[in-house]
Amino acid sequence: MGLSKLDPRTKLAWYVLMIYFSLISGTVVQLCLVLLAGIMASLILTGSLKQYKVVILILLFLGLQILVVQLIFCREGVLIYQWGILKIYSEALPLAITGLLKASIIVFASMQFFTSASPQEFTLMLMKFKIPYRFAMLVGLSVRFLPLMKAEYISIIDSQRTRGLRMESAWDNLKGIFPTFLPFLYRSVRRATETALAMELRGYGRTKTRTFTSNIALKPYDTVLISAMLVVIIISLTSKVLPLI
Amino acid sequence: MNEKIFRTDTKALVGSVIIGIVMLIMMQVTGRIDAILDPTLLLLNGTCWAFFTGLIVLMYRQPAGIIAGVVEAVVAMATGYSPLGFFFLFANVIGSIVYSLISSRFSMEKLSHHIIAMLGTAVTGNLCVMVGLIYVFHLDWKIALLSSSITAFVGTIVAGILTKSIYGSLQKSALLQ
Amino acid sequence: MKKIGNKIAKVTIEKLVFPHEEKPALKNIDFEINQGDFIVITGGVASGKSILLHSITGAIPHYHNAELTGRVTIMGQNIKDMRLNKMSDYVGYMMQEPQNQIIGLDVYEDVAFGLGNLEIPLKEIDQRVKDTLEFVGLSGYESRQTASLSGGQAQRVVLASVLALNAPILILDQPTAELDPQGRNELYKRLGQLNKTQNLTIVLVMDRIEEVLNYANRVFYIQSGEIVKQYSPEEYYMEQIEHRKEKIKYLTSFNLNHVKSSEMIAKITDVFYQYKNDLLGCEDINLDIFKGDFLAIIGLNGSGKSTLAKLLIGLLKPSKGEIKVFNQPLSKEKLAEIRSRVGFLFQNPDYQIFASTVEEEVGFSLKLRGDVNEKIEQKIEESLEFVGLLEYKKMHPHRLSRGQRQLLALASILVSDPEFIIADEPTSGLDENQGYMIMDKLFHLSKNGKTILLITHDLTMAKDYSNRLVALHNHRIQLDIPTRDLDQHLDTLKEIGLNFHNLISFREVQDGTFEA
Repeated sequence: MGLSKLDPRTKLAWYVLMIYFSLISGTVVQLCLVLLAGIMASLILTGSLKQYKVVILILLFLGLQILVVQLIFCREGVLIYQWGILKIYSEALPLAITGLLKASIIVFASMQFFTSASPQEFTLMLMKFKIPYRFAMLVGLSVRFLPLMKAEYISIIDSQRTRGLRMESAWDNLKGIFPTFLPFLYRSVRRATETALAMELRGYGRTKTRTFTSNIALKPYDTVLISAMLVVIIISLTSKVLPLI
Repeated sequence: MNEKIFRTDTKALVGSVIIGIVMLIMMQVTGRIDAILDPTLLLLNGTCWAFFTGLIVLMYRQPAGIIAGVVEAVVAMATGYSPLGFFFLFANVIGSIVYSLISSRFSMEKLSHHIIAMLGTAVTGNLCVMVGLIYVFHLDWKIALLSSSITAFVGTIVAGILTKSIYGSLQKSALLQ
Repeated sequence: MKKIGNKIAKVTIEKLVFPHEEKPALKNIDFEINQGDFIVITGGVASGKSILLHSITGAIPHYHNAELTGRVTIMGQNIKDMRLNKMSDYVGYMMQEPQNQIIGLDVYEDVAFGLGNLEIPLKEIDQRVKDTLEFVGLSGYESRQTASLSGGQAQRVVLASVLALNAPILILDQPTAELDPQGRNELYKRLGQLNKTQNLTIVLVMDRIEEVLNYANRVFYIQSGEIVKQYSPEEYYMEQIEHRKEKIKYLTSFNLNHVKSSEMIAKITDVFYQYKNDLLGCEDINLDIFKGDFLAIIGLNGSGKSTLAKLLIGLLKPSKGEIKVFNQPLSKEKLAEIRSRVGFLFQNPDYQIFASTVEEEVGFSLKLRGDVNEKIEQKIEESLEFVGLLEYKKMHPHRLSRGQRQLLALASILVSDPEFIIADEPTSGLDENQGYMIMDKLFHLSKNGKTILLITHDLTMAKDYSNRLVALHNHRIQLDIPTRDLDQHLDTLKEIGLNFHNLISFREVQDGTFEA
């Protein structure tokens, strides 16, 4: 069964499940299991993990940051090293690792969910949640304009550079923000105004409903999967809450 | 429906998506500069966030502010632009609502109005980030509070001034008419 | 000869005023549109042409704030009483930038967008999408990603999306301003066909005179918001010919007398460039640019023209070969100095504009170059005067029209007095009158000793203004000739898709082959 066959609502339930477990799990082993489950799901359904390559570097950098902050500020556990005012406690490393694992699960699960369906499927899902189509269809619009606007921002930078704007160091870039951001903002407002007009003149929002060129529907296995995931969350929640009562 | 808070015409809806993308790209640009100049405080990034959260509400009101915030966070997550988008999702939405509630009570003609509205946004937004820092990264709450306060303070002042001047020149340009 | 039917619309606008402006944008407008009309609107920079279209589509007053005194009715309905999203029953509107009007991620989705909004059943949508795509010559493009379309294809997708709605009136704002001659020809042929065979009423703001007048039946000339003259296409043609003849005579003498200088401005040696995505930019480029050259680089879209320009200003670094400008290599240390002596005019002026007044915008170029002499103000005024924008110096740049914004971009580069000006498609997106205005300014600069490199797919302008032509084809230089020798090379040029044969201005009229 391929990923595309699942209803986006099933995928949403899975996403909720992953986030829930990333937040309630406390130990390294638990968190590793959750992450592994997520990775397995991607492997089974799409057969590839290539798209996640971009985040590995960012996560490593984040991990380093968390580690440094914990090494400097953590005051839990026993003191294991002191150098002047710098005190390193024994809990610093475990806390950094669990922190990074939690972040990794959230990042992974979010990317997994938001890339798992086409914009139109997300639109249809939102409509199943009773969101009017004028709002739901904005999903497609954002996917449509992102690459276009990225390219435009680069052209704007080029254009200002030929005028003499320097964009070499971080300091240059800081000074270059306004001369590049403002044309981008003006252009984008113009674009928004024109696009919205073009849409209205093609009947956007004329009536409450419209014809979509595809549809989504929950299949029996979707219902089974969603119910199962809900049961897991409910059991877990009850077992957490009951002892408190 | 309160017209100072809500607007649901197509121009506002499409505008929210497009300015949301501008916000995303500028968050990435400022994030890169921060990574070199102040990798832990992320002052530029925080200011950029506050500025856009306010500007979009001034331009297109609600739900445009919320939509732009969601677009920014979700696209950041989906594309791997900024994988931490998840944590900004709540900050974006709550910060935007707070800005609407405060700005709708003022004429927004004076700098003080912009600063007050921005203060509400920056504080609530950074509060969300603070909760994330404590709960996910297990950061000590005093440290988290200190770092969030600095970012909120800088964001309030700088973004407050910026929203006033840039919204002003947008009005002068007649592009919003 | 098609037949003109009954009145379909009536436009009476006593006055139209935008907020915070004193002068009305339109006034004393009064005309009727008949079924089957093909009306062409023309006029100078910022004359109110697009605004007139906006008020026929209902965008004014429903979408843009403006105070309209008067009445616009279509098929007996006052459009003031109609919601904008119901206007698709009456008009289809195609604006200037196609990429802003494409909503779908793929071509099918985009053409189906409007049909879906009208709640047309899916089966009929399929059929209509298929038919309209076939009509615009894009059969089989259904699943093509819209982001990957060329300018001409994108324009045709927008046309298909608008036509699919079957509105009785089609309104177009400079529909071919960004297309190369081939694309322009095809689009107008289709419009003419729609008008003749389906009796579709067309109102358009003209971009180029060449083709459209063959199909039109009325021409409106608009000036300062007023329709000052109505012509038949023939009359307008004749008047323009007289005007143009003078101009061409004047230009040709300049071209013929051009004497090649020996002073070198730029030298490109064996340059090869490949983009990061392995796309070839250009190869085997050898080009010497001399002082006083008005060099036009021509070629179809994608032939490598813009790559060459970006290499010259150091935005791209050659993968192989060497480029020297003012006898200096484009090294990191020299780049700032070289750029301060070169002016680069981009296709889209909006990529630069960021100040809140016109004069600040021009001054920014000086500031970037570290110019701090007390003559700054005088310099700004001079360059604004030169492009004719002095009276707008306190205005926000985005209140200017597109053509005026391009002139502003020109002023912004002229203010720092560059020796060498590179202009990359400076007339793209402009109508013919605005385009000529920019070209005339460049021509003046050239006469005063500046070296100009013009990149264009507009063959008429290349021919009329340059003294040297370089043709690119498949990323290589195919031809490098003095413009006065053009006649000997027409066939070679035609082989690479640059057909100068059928664009010699107003040939049709002089041959008597013009028909309306």
